[in-house]
Order: sequence, then C-alpha cells, then structure tokens
Amino acid sequence: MATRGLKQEWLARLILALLLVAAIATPLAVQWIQTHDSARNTNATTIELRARMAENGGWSSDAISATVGQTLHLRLTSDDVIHSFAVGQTDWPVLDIKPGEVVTTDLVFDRPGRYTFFCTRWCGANHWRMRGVIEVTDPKSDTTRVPTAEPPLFQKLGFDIDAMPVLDPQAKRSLGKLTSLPSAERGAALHVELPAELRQRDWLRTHTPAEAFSLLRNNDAYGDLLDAQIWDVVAFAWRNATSDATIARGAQLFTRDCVACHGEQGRGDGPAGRDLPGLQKMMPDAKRGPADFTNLRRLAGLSDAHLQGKLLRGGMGTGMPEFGSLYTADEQWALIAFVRGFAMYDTNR
Amino acid sequence: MTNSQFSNLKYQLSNRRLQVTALAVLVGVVVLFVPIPLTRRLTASWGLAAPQERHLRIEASRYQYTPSVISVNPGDKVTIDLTTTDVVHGLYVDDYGVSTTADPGQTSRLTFVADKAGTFALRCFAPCGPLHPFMVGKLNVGPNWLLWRAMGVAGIAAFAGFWMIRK
Amino acid sequence: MMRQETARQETRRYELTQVPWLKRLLVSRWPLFLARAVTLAGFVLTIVAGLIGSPVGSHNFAIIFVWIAWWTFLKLIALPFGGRAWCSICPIPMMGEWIQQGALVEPGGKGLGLGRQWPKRLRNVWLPTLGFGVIGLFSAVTLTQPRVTGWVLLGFILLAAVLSLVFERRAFCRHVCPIGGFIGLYSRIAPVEVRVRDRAVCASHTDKTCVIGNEHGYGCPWQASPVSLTQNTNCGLCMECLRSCSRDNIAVNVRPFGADLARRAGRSLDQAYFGFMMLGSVVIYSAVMLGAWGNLKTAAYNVGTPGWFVYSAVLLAFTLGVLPGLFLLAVWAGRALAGSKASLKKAFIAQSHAIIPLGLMAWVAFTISFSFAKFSYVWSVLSDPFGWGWNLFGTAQLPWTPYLSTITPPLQVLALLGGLVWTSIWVRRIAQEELPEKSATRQSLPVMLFCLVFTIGMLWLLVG
Repeated sequence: MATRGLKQEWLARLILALLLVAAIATPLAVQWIQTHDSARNTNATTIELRARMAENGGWSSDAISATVGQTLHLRLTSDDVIHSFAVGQTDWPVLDIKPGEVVTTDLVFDRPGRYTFFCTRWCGANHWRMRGVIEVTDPKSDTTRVPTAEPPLFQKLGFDIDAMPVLDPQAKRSLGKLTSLPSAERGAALHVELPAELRQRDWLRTHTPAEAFSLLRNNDAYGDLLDAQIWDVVAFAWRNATSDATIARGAQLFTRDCVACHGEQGRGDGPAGRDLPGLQKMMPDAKRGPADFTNLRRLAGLSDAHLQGKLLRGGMGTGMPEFGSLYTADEQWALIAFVRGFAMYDTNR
Repeated sequence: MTNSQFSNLKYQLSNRRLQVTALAVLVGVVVLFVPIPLTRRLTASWGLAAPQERHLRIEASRYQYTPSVISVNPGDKVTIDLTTTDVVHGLYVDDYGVSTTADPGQTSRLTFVADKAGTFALRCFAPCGPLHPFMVGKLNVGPNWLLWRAMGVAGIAAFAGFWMIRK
Repeated sequence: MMRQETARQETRRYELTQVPWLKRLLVSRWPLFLARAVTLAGFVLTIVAGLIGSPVGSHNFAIIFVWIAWWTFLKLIALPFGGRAWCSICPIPMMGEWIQQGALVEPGGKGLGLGRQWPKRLRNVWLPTLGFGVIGLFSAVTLTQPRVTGWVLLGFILLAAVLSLVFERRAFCRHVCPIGGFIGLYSRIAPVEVRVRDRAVCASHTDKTCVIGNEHGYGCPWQASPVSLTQNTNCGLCMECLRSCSRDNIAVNVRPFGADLARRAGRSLDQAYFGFMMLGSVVIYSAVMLGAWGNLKTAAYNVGTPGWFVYSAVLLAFTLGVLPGLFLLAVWAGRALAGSKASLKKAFIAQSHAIIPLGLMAWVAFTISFSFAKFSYVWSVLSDPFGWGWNLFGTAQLPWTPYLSTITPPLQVLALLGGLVWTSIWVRRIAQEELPEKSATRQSLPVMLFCLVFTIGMLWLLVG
C-alpha cells in the first residue's frame, strides 16, 4: 500500500477505534461519575433500588442497613410500571417512581428501629408484597435490641379478633328492621345529649356500636326515640369523637392503600379484591372477598380496637396485608374513623 | 385501416383516456375534500341526533380499553369514567389533548366537548407494562367521514380504471 | 435486448456524476467511511443500551432509536428516495467486510476469509423471506424488550461477520438479511440508480475491473456485475464500481420513480414471495400493533402460549399461503378473461412485481402512524439513553406527546390511495408486456380488484 494510503488507513482505524470506545466506555464512565458525584457527603451511602412488580421480583433489595444519622442516598427507578416509595411510620413524602426514570432522595434516620418501606401505587395483584425493611441501628448504643412497639389495644384487652362478633339480640333485631343505613348527620340534627360514655374516646374505641345501641336503648332518657333514631345517635357519637381533618387523612390513606381491594364505596368490590378468599379462609360459609364496610350487621359488632387489630395484623390467609409496620397510631385511628363512615356517615357515601 | 384513420382513432382514444382520468380526479377531489355540512336538520335526517350529554365508563386493562371503541356525536359533552383492573393506566385523546390517569380501585373522570369531528385514537400514556406503547382505543365523533371518503375515492379510481378499459 | 435499450433511453435520466464536485464526493472514500463509522458506533451503543440499560422500552436508546428513529428514516426517506442507500452505510456487515478486505479505506490490505461461494440453492431471497416471517413471530417481544433487541442485533452483527469470514463478499446482505430483502425489492421504485454510461465501452475491453477490482476500488461487493446491471435490487450504492472502473464509464443517475418495475430481468418467484410476505405482514402488524384488540397483542407477545401459536400460524399462513393464493387466483382469472395462453407461473411472477408500489405505500402508511405518535420519545432518550437518570442535553424530562395526529389519517389515506393508483398503472403496463392492449387490460381487472380489496382493508385498519 502506498504511504499516503497507509497513513489514511491508520487514521481511519484510529477514528473507528475512538468512536467504538466512546460508544462502550462513555456510558460506563458517565454512570460512574454520576453515582459518585451525588454522594459527595462522606457519610452517605448510595443505594440503587429498583422497583418491580412482585411478579418480576419486587424491590431489588428488600433489606437495607443504616446507622442513626447516616445519609442514605437512594436512587430509585422502576423496571416496569409506576411504583412509589414510602417509608412507614415516618413523615417522609411519598415519591412516585416512573418506569425508566430515576428519582433520588436522601434519607436520614434519627432513631433506631425497623422501618418498612413500601409501594403505594397499585402495581398488580401482589402490590402489597412490595415491602422491604430498613434496619437502623445506633452504633453508640450498647444494645443491639431494636425497641419494641407498644402492644396494640386488642392485645391489651385480650379478645380474639378472629372470632365472629356476636350481637346482642336486641341490637340484632333492631338492625334487621332498619330500612336504610344510619346517618351521623341525622343523629346530630336530633340534638340529644350524649351519655358520658359516648363522649369518651376510650370507651368508644373499646366498645362496639351494638353495645352503644344497647346503652342508649336501655336508658329511659332516650325512651321516646325510635330504634332507627337511636342508631343515628350512635353514628353521631362516633362522628363526634373525631374531626374533619382526621377523616380527611383517613380518606387519603383509604384511597391510597385500600380502595383497590375494598372498593371506592367500601363494599369489598375493588378490582384487586375479587379473587381474595377473605373470611371464607377461616369460616367456609362466610362471604368471599374483602370486608364490606357498608354491612352494618357485621360492623356493629366490631369495636374500633377490633378493626385496629385486623388492620395491624392482617393475614391469616384472607389476603388482607398487615399494616402494623406501615401506619403510625394516628394514621390507624384516622383510617378507622373514615372506614366507620361507610356504614354510618352520609358524607362517605 | 388507413394510416390517417389509425392516427385519428389513436387521438380519440388518448383524448378519451384523458377525459376519463380528469373526470375521475375531479370527482375524487370533490369526494375527498368537500365539506359536508352537519346542520341539525341534515344530521337529524341522516339519523344523527342533536348534541347531548354522554356518560361513558371505560375500563382499562393490560392492554386494551373496554369498550375499545366509543362513538359519540359531534358537539356532545362527553364524560368518561376511567377505571382500571390491574395497574395504573392513562387515557389520552388524540387531537383533543385531554387526558387522565386512574389507579386501580379509583375512578377517574374526564370531561370534554366533542367539537372536532372524526376518528381519534385513545392512548395509554402511563407506562403499564411491555405492550404499553400499543395500548390503544378509538373515539368516533360522528361518522368516520375520512374513511368513507377514502373508500369512495378508491372505488372511483377503480371504476375510472374499469371505464377506461371498457370498450 | 433492443427493446430494452430503447426503453431505457426513453426514460428521462439526469446524471449526477456529471457534476464534478458531486462526483468527487461520491468517489471519495472518506464521507462513506465516516458515515459507516458513526453508524457502527451507534449500533454498538444500541446493543450496549439494549443489554444493560433500563428494561423500559420507552426510555431505552435501543428501542427508540432502532424501531422508531431508524425505522422511520428508513421507510419514509432512505428507501423511497434512495433505494438501497441505507445498505451503503449499514453497520451490520461492516465489521465482517473490513476484516474480509483487510482495510478500512483504500484497497490493498491483506484480508481474512475463506471466500467460499455462496451455495447455489440459496442464491435467492427465500432465506430473507422466511427470516422476515420469523421476525414477525417475535416482533411484539423484540419491539418492546430492550434486552431482546440487544441480543437480536448482536446476533445479526456476529452472523454477518462469520458469514464474511466464510463466504465471499456481501453474502449476508444479499442472501440472508431480511431487511435487505425488502429494501432490495422496494428499491426498484427509487429515483436513484448506478448504471453504466455506455454499453459499447464495456464491450470494448476485457479487464472488467468493476467486477474483479483494482488498486482504486474493490470488485463489486454485492456481486452485481455493473456491466449488466439493469435494476436496483442488488446494487448497494457503495460506489466501488465508480472507483474501480478503468474507463470511467459508470454513472449515478436520478430518474423518475418506479423505473425499474419495467425491467424483466431479476423477476423471480422468491422476489414475488417476499412481496407477499411484506404485504401480508403490514396487514397483520396493523391489526396487532395499531388495532384496539388487546387479546391480539397479548397473543403475539406471550411466546410459547397457545395464543401465540395461533398468531404464528395465522401470520405464516396469511403471508405465505392466503395472500399469494388469492393473487394467483386473480392472475388466473385475468388470464382466463383475456384468453391468454402465456404461462401462469410467468404471469404470476410478473404481476407480483407490479404490486411493489402497493406494498411500499402500505408500509409508509403504517410507519406514519406507528412512528409519529411515539417520535417524541427520541428527545428524552437522547438525554438519557440508558434510562439511568442522566440528562445530557436537558431534554430527559420532555413529556411524551404525539406528533401530527390531525394530519396523520389524511396522510395515510394519500399514501394508500397513491399506492393503489400507482400499482394499478403498473399492473396494466406489465400485462401489456405480453398481451395487446385490450387483452392486457382484461388481464389486469381481477388483479386490480385484489389491490382494491387490499387497500380498503388497510384503510379500515389504519384510518377506520
């Protein structure tokens, strides 16, 4: 080959080599720069968390360790559909994770414990399985024991949340004769004075609406009220014990985490709930699927503590996930206050 | 046949071909482009109703809308309740540019006035899985005039072809 | 022969190579080499993105640039206006060709390769035809899964390289590549060609450097002897013959659309069948990908399920059986109407080439709605090719928005109707090759009916 031709040839080879190397090395280089750039803080660890539907593997890592005060720099991305990232029992805002896009956030924990992170955008039948744990330890403390949470109300009271509620015959009869669901608004309009118990939150939380009904019915002061009106007063009592803001928070949580199975009207007819066994798992002749919160005949026999127990523990093969690790106590009561409304407040319906 | 007769015939033939082609093109253009007035009387006589309010439910799943084709009349006020059975889906209406997203269990409402006539695609824009780019539905506002006109022109082209050939 | 000569002279042509700077540009190796180097680097980037990038198709360079950007460019610009122009810069055979030739630019290097002759039985486009069908079976998965696209492209480039090491010249491009198969078929209508200027000059000398090569240029890598090249099907527009011709007798011409359809040489049954594979595929793809039927899409996607087997059977039967069968029926009916005694097979093959414009326009119409709606992903993917959260050019967060949705249906109508009219003209012209005018038009009627039904079907699928 002529010299000029040889020079040209080597120039061409050089150009080709440069372009090919660029094509392969550039992505890797940029990625390295980006991940190391964003974690300048020496105290920070970068963790890449890939969100996938449970069928595709769930979270790429479902156990993360951290220490108190350490910055966790999370790079979140999704490999299939829209997910989100939320950390239970904290105030961290929920981050939407869109497929193919990366969202970053820095988490710092100031208290040791086991924090559950979870997805809040319904991503398929196994969405509720998308959970992981961030275990935060305090390097300064001697004990490796993670502080235990306070036992829930139903455990303190010692009743079995799996037992079917038994209603007082009087209450049961009256429920059978109701032509429409009670309304707290109607109850408020009756302008009756509530007895002491029905003004105490602790009493309301630990007793069933049926018990409240009996309390009122057997009290002569309310003798001239019809059964239906007594139920309206019971509904009012529950509504009175909570606030608009609490119910709104409960509505938010219900829409985010419950509606897919329990349905928008709380009837247990949500698209994701149709194939769940529900109570049928434990009692063959029970209704299949998630609970119908508009069924007062059942709800009247359940106290708030009972509902809280179901919410916290879930499981038992019914298809109900446990929310104990996800919700703070305030969130739990807010949700229950809202859920009561399906059977008892007009505004819910 | 003498030479002059032959050339005369050839001239006539080519002239006729030209005539038929020109006629076909003219009719084709008319069919394709003339605006068809959609006055109330006209549409009523063709069986189309006056604008009304419509409330439709569309259920999105992977990877179609049910119903996949919705038909309304021009001028209708359309309200679509979008629900989804499995994951988050979206609904975007081509040309109108209106859209909404629905999470499973939550109904999302989209309202718009169908003032543009024609056929428009409904597209999912919330990534819902691998086949998401192909998740598509159809909105018919009024009859699909473009389709009928196109078929008309195709028929005319074919007919013109046959006519030219017929001798 | 004489008739062909005069026919060729009658078609208006403008020679591009008579313009000095154009000729220098075409003969120079650097523009072509740089373009090839860039496409090869892009190809490698595509494979890397497909294999290690985000599994989400809309945020992966591989999916967006191959199936939307490049496909649109190919179908709407490169193919209709340049014929096999893409093949001249296609990266897939480059690695193999460079190893085979032993040099990147000027000839003279020591190449590697066995240089075997391609098997005689496969010197046609049957392999590409079947290859395109097989691609169709897996198209739903390939178009949506970056990993699959990555592996398929890697497989292609390795296959091309291996074939270059075993066989002579561009065996892969001519006899294996499914894309090359339909590009070659449709390039007959392209307005660009490479042809000999004066046949007499070729007849006057025996050292055909355009075929065997010399120090200025390689012998035609496509084994399409420029001396007798009368149509575009196998010419890859690589300009080697321009460089190697010792008599400066090769020209690049611009000519009207559809010129090669009149050429009888090169019409064969395999080419005809590829035409039907393309015609049938566009119908099936329009129904599965652009239609509103979700069950068709899931059947096409879930490889291995009973639904997928049904889809595969339908696709293969339709493209290789039903459509050619119906066309055969139309040709037979036409012959019966015209009272022709000519061979049915020859008439079938000849008429099958008349529907090339129909197929091309149908693919143009399909590509218009397929790509315009998704083209906006190109900008975000340029800034974040791997879906790793980059923002190289600031466009990563640009939201998806469909382009030109108002004008898309009318454009598709124009393309489909244009294809119908164009093909109808050629059906009659080709019939006139064997028959007098009146009989020829009678022969054309059933075939035109076939084209009309096809057009109406495509109109309903795309615009309906």
